[in-house]
Amino acid sequence: MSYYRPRTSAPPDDEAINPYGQVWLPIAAQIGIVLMIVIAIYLVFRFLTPTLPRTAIQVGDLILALTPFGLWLWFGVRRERLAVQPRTRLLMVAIVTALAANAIAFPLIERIYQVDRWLPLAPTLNRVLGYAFTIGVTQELIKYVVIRYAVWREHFRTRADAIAYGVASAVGYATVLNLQIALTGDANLDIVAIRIFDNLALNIAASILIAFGTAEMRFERPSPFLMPLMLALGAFLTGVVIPLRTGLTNSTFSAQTAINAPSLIFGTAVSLIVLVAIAFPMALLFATADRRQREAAARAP
Amino acid sequence: MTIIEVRSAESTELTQRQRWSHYFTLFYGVIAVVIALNLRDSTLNATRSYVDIQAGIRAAYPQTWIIDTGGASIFRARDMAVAGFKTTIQIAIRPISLSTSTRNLIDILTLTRAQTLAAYRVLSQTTFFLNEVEATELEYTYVSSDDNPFLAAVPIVVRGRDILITRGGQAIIVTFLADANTYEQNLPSFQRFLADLEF
Repeated sequence: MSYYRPRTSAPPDDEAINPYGQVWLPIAAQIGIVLMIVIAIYLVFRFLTPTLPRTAIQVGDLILALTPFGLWLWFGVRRERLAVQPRTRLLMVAIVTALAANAIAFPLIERIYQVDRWLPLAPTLNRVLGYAFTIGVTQELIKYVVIRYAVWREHFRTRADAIAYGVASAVGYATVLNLQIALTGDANLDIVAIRIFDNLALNIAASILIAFGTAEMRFERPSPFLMPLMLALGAFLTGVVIPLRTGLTNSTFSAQTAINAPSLIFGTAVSLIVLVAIAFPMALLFATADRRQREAAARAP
Repeated sequence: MTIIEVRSAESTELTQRQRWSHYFTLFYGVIAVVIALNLRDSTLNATRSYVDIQAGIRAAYPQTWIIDTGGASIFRARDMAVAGFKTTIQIAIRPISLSTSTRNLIDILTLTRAQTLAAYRVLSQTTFFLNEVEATELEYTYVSSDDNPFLAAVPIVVRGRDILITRGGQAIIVTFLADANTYEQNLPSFQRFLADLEF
């Protein structure tokens, strides 16, 4: 008697299993390229100290400010179009977040909270709490509200969608901050580049926390306090990182030692460490939750 | 033959947990705004107390300002964190004869300042009651330039407000000086200072 084993063949590519676009790889590529640009500009200005005309600095600042958005369009939006089932509202989320940031968050922080008047000179604990409750909550709440009303539920097909839309809102918000930096001063390219990276990294890190909350809210039955907790964590992250970055970047004044030049690259290192420290555990959490969900679906009758 | 694919339609209704989660998040946002405003006010309006038993003055000046009791005034506090002209609150006491009126005092101040300050102009003069004591408010402006010739800085238009109170044989002159561009923004600090001032 002949026995024929059923012949199985592997799917042709990943797309057959996962029809949705990847999220972590585009984030890594985008952050990696921005980081390389920042380091290159920093090294050029540190060792070659070029003197650029004012117009060139202004144009350079503007190009740098738009670079993260351009890279996100390339790695996030354009690659998404190649997926079998693309995420259709990425650009909308980014633009609406940017508009809300410019129309609500920026005036609220600058005119109502007036953080520049009281926070930089406040004691450390006050600064952490102050930045968390002013800048932190404002930016995370705006990103959350945009995602909640624009895409949450209907456009959340997998947990990765939460990350993709979270990053879209982070890039939109960071672009407004970057444009404010580029258009309101004539700072050198190295300083602007570093601040742009800091804004992008911090916004993406906080958005990953928000994304975890929105994903859990969509696919699981978490406590109703999980989402406000994730928002508070995202805001607290902002509250801690801003004074920490400033403290490490600025030179200290001391009667005993000579005053050193500001160590700008330390701020970038802090931003990168924070982003990696948030992204890796959260990626693990997302992967674990996805696996649990698949196993539960397989066990279901 | 027609094949009809039947899929279980996912409910579009929000669950109770999702709804409450959203409400709690928005509520947290509102609470955070209240906390942020409270933090801002408590930091911006924080004061230190100043007591001068000899002059008989008790005041509360902004916490982050630097106090300076030297010079012609018995009290001077300045906001050293401000770039350019340092916002200043100062108190001076001058002996006067019993026949000296507030009008005489204003004339003396105007004549003295017109000779020492560039482009000194009196803007207004009003009388009011401060802590049930009659006081005169004098608003003026002048141009301040840095004394150091090596600092190539543009002169600053300063706006000032004097509160003149005559008491027995002395005149108390409480002065507020600020860059004309930030005068209105800093005026509440002076108004709080005046409200707490005891003499």
